[in-house]
Amino acid sequence: MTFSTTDDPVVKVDNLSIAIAGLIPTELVSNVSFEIRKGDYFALVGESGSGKSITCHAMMKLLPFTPIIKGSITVDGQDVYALDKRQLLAYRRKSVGMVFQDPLAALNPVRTIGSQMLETLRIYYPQADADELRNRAIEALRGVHIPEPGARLGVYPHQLSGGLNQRVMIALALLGEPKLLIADEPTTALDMSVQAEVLDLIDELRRKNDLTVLLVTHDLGIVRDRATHIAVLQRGRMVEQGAAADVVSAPKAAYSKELFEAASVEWPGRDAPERKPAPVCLSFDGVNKTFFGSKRDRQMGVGIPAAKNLSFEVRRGEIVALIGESGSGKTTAAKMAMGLEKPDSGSIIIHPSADDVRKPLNVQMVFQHPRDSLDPLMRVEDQLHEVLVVHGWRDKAKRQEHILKTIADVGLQPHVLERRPTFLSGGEAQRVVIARALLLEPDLIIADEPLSAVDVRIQKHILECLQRLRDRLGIAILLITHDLRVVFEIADQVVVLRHGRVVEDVAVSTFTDGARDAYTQMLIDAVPGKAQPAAKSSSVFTLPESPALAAG
Amino acid sequence: MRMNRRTAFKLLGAGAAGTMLLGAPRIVFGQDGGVIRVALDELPRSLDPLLYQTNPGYRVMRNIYDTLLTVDHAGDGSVLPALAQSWERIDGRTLELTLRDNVLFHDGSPLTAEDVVFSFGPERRTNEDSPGFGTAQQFLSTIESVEAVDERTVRVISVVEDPTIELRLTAWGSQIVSKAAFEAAGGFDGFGQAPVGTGPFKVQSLGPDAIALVAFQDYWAGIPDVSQLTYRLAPELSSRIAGLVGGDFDIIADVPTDQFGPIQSNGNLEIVGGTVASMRVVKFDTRNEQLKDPRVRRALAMAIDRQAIVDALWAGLVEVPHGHQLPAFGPLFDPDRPAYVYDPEGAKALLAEAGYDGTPIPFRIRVAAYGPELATSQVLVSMWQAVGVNIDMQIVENFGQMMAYPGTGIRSGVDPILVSDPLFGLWRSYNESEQEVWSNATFYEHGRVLESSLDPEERKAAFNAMMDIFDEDPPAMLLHTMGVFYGKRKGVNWDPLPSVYMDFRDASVA
Amino acid sequence: MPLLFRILRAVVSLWLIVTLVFVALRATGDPITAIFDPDNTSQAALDSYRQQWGYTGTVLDQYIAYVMSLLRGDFGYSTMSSRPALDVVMERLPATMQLVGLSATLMIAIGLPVGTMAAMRAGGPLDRFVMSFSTVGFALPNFVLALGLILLFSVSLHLLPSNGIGSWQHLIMPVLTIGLSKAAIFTRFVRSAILDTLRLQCVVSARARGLTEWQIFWHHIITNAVLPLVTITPLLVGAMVAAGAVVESVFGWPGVGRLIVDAVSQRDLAVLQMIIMLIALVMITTNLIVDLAYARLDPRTSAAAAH
Repeated sequence: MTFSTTDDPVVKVDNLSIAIAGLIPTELVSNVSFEIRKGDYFALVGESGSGKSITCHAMMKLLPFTPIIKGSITVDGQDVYALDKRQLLAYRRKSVGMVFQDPLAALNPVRTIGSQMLETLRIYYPQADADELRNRAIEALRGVHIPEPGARLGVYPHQLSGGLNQRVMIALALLGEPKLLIADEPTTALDMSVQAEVLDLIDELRRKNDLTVLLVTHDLGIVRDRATHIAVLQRGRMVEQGAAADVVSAPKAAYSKELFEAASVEWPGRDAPERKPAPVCLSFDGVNKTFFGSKRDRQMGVGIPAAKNLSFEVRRGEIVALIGESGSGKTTAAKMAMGLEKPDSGSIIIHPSADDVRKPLNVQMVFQHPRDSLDPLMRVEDQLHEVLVVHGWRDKAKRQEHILKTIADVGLQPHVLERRPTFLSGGEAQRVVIARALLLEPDLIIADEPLSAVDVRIQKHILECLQRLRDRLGIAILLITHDLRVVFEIADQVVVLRHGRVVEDVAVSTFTDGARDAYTQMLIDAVPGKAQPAAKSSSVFTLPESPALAAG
Repeated sequence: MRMNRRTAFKLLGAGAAGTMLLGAPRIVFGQDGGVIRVALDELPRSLDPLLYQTNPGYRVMRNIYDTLLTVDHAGDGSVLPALAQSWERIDGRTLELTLRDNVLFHDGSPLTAEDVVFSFGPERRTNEDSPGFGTAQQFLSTIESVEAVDERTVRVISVVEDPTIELRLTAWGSQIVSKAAFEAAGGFDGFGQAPVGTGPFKVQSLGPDAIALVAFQDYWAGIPDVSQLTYRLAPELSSRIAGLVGGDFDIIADVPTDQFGPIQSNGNLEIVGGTVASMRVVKFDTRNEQLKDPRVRRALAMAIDRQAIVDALWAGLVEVPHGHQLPAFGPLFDPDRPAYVYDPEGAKALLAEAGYDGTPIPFRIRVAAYGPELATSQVLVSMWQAVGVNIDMQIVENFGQMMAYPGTGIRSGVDPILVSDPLFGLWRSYNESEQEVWSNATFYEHGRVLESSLDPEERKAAFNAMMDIFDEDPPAMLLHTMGVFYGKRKGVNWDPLPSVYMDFRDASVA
Repeated sequence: MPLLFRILRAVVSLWLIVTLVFVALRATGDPITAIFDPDNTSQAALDSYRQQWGYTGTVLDQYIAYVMSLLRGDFGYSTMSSRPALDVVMERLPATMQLVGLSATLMIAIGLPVGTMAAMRAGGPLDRFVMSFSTVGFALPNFVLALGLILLFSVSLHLLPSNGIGSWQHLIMPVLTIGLSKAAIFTRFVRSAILDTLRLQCVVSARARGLTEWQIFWHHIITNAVLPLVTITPLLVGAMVAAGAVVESVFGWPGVGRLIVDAVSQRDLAVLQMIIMLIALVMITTNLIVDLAYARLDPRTSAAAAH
């Protein structure tokens, strides 16, 4: 069970169980044991609800509830749950540093980066004067490759991009030179291209400072590239752990296999057959749209361009992926297609049905956060009936029949109809939303990041579902995403947006032929877990800071 | 110690002590024999009588000003001397009055005929641009002018022959003010804030929460027993009662009968008051098809058990008058006039005779008026229904809605009698000015006699005939007199007048 | 420029409010017959008053005359006081400001520490006590609370004057009434603001860095919790002016709240218009101040726009 490099493990979790107190205590983590040796890069992998975050928060004694703990957690030679208050402070300062999922949330929004760094530094250097602390803060920021570190001290977190904020977080976590760095989903909230940089930074610091890293993630792509050890959690139980190479190449547990399969990226075939050109159902022609912060900005013409001469087409029965990082204008494009935003100039045409010119196309939208678009207090069945009633379906039996058929189309069991959205899993909720869109038999679905709120395995199911719908019903789908893996999976055509401009509009089969725009290529290279390893160091490609990116 | 304090207070003069009194009334003179603290639901904001003709004004200014003549409110309503020590009719239009000697204004200046002339003159009363013009119209419209004969003699000249000039000079608006002070104050606004009269109390301070009066040491009728008279603002009934029970007030105004209990259960407190010179009536609009026939109106009046209403809702403390008259009318009062009968059977018979067909008659009321208005109205409606009259009761907000025609029928109302003569009661309420609502030529003829005849017997006959018409061809039906009740500390000797005024000339504190 | 725009917008909304009030007050009944019982007052007198107070002509005529006099700085004449409406209102203002100021102080003095302690020990005995107590305070009408205080302190204990203004003793009960009832609400706001902040990731991350609870509280919890409180506080102060109408009546406190009630019942339209303008002005100014304060307290609002 041990893969030792040195003698004492930095972390030793022994038969750990965590439960929420209550009349019937709910066990969230059961009998989990693992050890992390000095210098290891240990990845704790699992879907949401698997107990991975709870485990690492328990290691910091930071659970948001009062837990019932069985077993023991020993870090850096200290039994975490036997520490008194002062020892606990010392433990958090000296032994462990922690990095969180959303760096913007993890930093206090109303205080400057500098004040938060100085406040932490003062703990370690109580004697130091202001100048020395400032120098140390600058030093620390430089250590995580933040350009112009001195100037950054005076700014607020919202003025920096996500990537820079996460670097600040890492610098903060490492100020006390801890032995262990716990990184809880450190890249999930970041854009694809930045994810790699942050991971590279952690790699670099690990090597430089002899740091032990515990990385918590749901993203197997990350793990495969970097971890030395992998442990897989499912519903609070450890289903598999071992050296990374072993687990990746030959996962033993069925669940791990499924996870790895779901996460693997199938490079699109270069020899995809040329498809018959279908009639166009949605076209953007020279669309421009600029957002202004204020009237004055509008007069000065200083705005954030969301669309610049944007032109592309979606054909019937085709899945077009609109990709780009946050702030690239992809969501604005979707809103304009739905008529929720008006373009400044240019035209967006939803072409009438091929069979009947008088009949307008039926367009439906699927949103990013399924729960937000469902009424939490209304049973799923009632919500679906409501949609049909509004559109004139009088006969209840017919409605019921149609709903059951649609629910089956998206791969849901009829029993979900009885529930309220609160009792649905993320995947179920998203499929309910898709089913709701399908009820009205649309010709075009615009889906805005439909997968970002659901786990990898569920993503796969939903993608398959969309693909099936396209194939069977001939529905066109405009799929908005930042995740290239999704694109590879199902898209027919890829449109890459950057700062509101189309930088790429090609069939997916030719997308990875290497002859793409530099930005596209960078996105492709940043995809983790792809077959060809990305031979990169941390300094290769840094995106210039731009307001558009920061604002996203 | 107590004497010392009073002496000291007198020496200090009103100003300084008054500030102390305002600052902490409970601490300084709380137990002093000469202090009365009165809680009102509303305070006058200006103390010029021509600017402020409402209940709070009546209750305060009565004690600040005098009139030339006054009325024995508590007795037979006879006219008594006040600032004028004697008076004489020169003819039907002219009254000559001799002013009392040695009357001083609060500022120490003597009262002269010039002040009297000024008080009734154009600047205050007759000039149509004067802010006082409206109020003066109420009772003084027939007075053409007031002239000084010499320093102590004035003549009041009426536009037409008027039997009631004397009474008019007792009425609201005829208070005598200091010409010099009025002019020095720059007119109504300033004078209303710093009034100078000849009354028993002078104004020490006038604030939005309290009005402090102190005894006028040079009052012509003798220094009042009460040295301090403070009116305090306490709009909420329950806080007035709490303040009385808690000892913050000595007298509180406007206690409804259903709140007597908490006051009477306290051995130190009592309820005083009763009838005031005002008739609670129900008015008829003869434009209504059903009410055209006087028999229907008479039947409506016969169907009501007035005493039952008085007993149930007024604790039996107000009266059911016999005809539209008050004992204060003196010689015009007819003590032999029969009481109204409660005769439901007779009412039914009259209705049948008149051919009333059951059409609902509208009945409009304002809830925020006239005491237990809603309860009274509900009793009325049920009594009417008992004789087969259908009533459509409508609760309205204001007078505009009350009078909105068409749709009128029965409405509740009050006939105030601010001056003790039927001219200011029955005649004022039912004269030609509202003849579209009800009219009766004979009534109007008698009314003109009442207005102009100088022969008391002729007037009495005319008034009696008018009361007969009021009952035969009713423009309204009487219910009872209105009542005003006060909660009072037993140690305070004060008898409320049967009128809207509060008079503290004869009050004292045990 | 934006400040100027805001002020302009404020003036326009003020004007709209005044116009609305002007029309509404005249549409709901003849002010003259609301002041004088026509059964009680002769037609000649009514006509004279109508003339004197400018209630002649159409509402439009009256409105034009009103606006013209406003432009001359003349706010009209109080019919119930026979004095300029501005004087009548200004005379009442200090009493209300004293009441509201002290009540607000009491509200903050109670709400801030109690709400914070309750939130820090959420679910504990103190929290449960505070929550149930504030529910009572929330549900108890001001009127009842005021009378309860009078019964206790004036009628039973003879400690405090039940009515009036002047000494500090007079202030105690009105301030307690308004301050306590609003503190009940404010405590809940503070508690939930702190609870929301406790759940913030930045508090968790500060804890993970080994900051002391003291540092976390002052540097991370308060700085964030103060934002919603800054928004709510002026609303509560506005509610205090409204509560003043009842409380000032019970305690005979000669403030603006009581004046509103009087002015409505006696249709003293000039005074009512003056008060409404004043309150609108205060609310608009307060909102402006809150916006500015918010911009200082939360760099995301101002800096993001400036960037």
